[in-house]
Amino acid sequence: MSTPARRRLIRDFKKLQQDPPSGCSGAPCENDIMRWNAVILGPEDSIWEGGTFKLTFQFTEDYPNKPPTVKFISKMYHPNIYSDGSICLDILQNQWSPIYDISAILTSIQSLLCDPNPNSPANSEAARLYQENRREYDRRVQEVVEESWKG
Amino acid sequence: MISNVQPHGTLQQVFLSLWNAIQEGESIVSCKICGETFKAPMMLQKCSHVFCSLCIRRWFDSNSICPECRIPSSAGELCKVRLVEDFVELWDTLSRKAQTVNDLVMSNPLRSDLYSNTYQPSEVVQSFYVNSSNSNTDEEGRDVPGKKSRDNKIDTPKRKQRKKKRNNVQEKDPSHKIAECPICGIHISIRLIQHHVDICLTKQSCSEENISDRVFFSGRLNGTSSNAHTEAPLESTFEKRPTTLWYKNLSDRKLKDILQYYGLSTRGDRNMLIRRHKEFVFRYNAELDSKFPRPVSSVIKDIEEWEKQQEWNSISEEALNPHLETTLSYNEEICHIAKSDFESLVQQAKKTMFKTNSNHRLSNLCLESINNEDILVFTQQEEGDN
Repeated sequence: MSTPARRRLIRDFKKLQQDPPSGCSGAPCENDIMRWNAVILGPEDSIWEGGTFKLTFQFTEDYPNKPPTVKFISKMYHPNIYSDGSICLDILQNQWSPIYDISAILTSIQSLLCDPNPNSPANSEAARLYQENRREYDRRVQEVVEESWKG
Repeated sequence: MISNVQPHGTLQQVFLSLWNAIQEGESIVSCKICGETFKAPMMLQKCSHVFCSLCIRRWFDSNSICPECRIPSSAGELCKVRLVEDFVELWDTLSRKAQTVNDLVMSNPLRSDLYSNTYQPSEVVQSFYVNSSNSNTDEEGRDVPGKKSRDNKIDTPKRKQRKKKRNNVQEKDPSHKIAECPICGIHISIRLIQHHVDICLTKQSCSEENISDRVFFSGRLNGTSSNAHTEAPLESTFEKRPTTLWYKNLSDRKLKDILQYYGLSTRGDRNMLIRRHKEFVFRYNAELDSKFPRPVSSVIKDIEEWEKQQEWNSISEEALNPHLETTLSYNEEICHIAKSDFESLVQQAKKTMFKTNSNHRLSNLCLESINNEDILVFTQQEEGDN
C-alpha cells in the first residue's frame, strides 16, 4: 500500500536506476520495498579496489524523516564499521537530513571506505592500525577485499 | 513554405529540447523531502528553502534545522509562497501537454512518417491540435452538441475542410480513436492510453489529491457541508491553528477528549493517540497552507486511511521480516537467499564504473544540432495553423 515512505522509495529507486552513482547499485527486495540490498565496489586506485561489498538497508515508515538502518553483510575491516556490519557514519545518525536519498547514502559510505574517521572508532583495532601501522591495516583490508569475491 | 522545409527529424529535435527543459524543471518544482511536486509550498524565512507544508511540518516535529542548509529553524518560521504554488501549476500543465505530444507524436508507430524524409511539419502540428480538440467530437467524429470548442469559434472554410478530412481518417482507422485519461483528463490515442495511464498513476499522489473535494474552509464553516464532522464545536477551534502538545503532561482521558473535539477516533493505545493527534495537526495545518483547503472531514478521512495503511503494512512487514538480527548466521542467510539478487547488483555496479554520461551527451548533441531556422519553421507553422 502506498504511504509517503513507500512512494519516496519508489522515487529513489527510479533515480538510482536512471542516474546510478559510480560503483554503486541497489534494489529493493522482491516482496518488500522497505528492505533493500545494495552493492558498493571498492573505489579505484585505493586499497579497497576490486572489492564487492554487500549491504542491506532497512527503512521504516518514518523515512525520509528518519534514516534507514544500513549494514554491511560482507565482512569488513574499517575503523568506522562494527563487527556486525553496522556503520558509524554521522549522516546515518544525528546528521541525517530528509533530503538524502539512497544514492547519497551509498556515495557517502563509498567515500567513508577511503576516508575513515579514526576519532569515532567502531573497530578500535582497525582505528589503531590505521593510525599507527598503515602497512598492517592495508594488509587486513586486502584480506576482506579478497574475501568479498567469495561470497 | 512547406516545400522549403528540411526535415531530418527537425520537429523531433525541437520537441526533444523542449522536453528536456521541462524534465529538468521538475527538480525545481519538486520538494526535496518527498520528491514530488510541491503541495502547499512553504518557505523557511531565514534561508528561503522551500518544501511541501506537510513534509516540513513532519520534519520539524523532531528536528529544528533546515533539511537543506541546517540553519536552526522551526515551524513558526514557515511562510506561504504563492508564486511557487502557481509556478508548480504552470509546470504541471506544461509537462502534461508535453507528455501528450510525446505520446502522440514521438512514440506513435503510426506516425513513423515523422522520422522519414517526407514528413511535413504541418501534419505533425495538426495532429496535435486534432487530437487535443477531439474532446468535442464523439467516436465517429461528429461534433457533440452542447460543447463549444475553441476550434468552432475560429473555424475557417479551410479549417473545416481539414477537420473533416481528419475525422474521415479516424473513422477508417480505429487506432485514431481518442480516449480520455481517467486520471488527468487528457485526451489521447486509444493505442497509447494504457501506457499513459501507467505514467499518470505513478505521478498521482496516493489519492490525497481530490480536486472535486476541495472547497474553502469558509464555505464549510458557513454550513455548506453536511458532514457530521464539521458541526459546531470545531468552528471555534479552527480559528486558531492546532499545534502539537506537551503529551507527557496529558492524561489519556484528556488526550481522548482533545481527539474527540477534533472529530478524531479515540481508538488504540496511548502511542497511537499521540500519533493520531500529531498527524492531524500536521495535515490540518498543511491543508490550511494550501491554496484550496479541503474540509476537515477530508483530513479526518485521510488520517483514517493513513492509519489503515500503516497497520496493514506493519502486519505484512512482521510476517515477511521478523526483526533484523545482527548475528553473522543471519547475514550469511541473507547472502544466500539474495545471492542472485546480489550478483545482478554487482553487475550493475560494475557497469556504472565504466559508464560515461552517454545519455547526456546524446541530448546535448541533439540540442546543438537544432538551429534557429528549424525553430522558425516550427513557429511559423504553428502561427499558420492558428
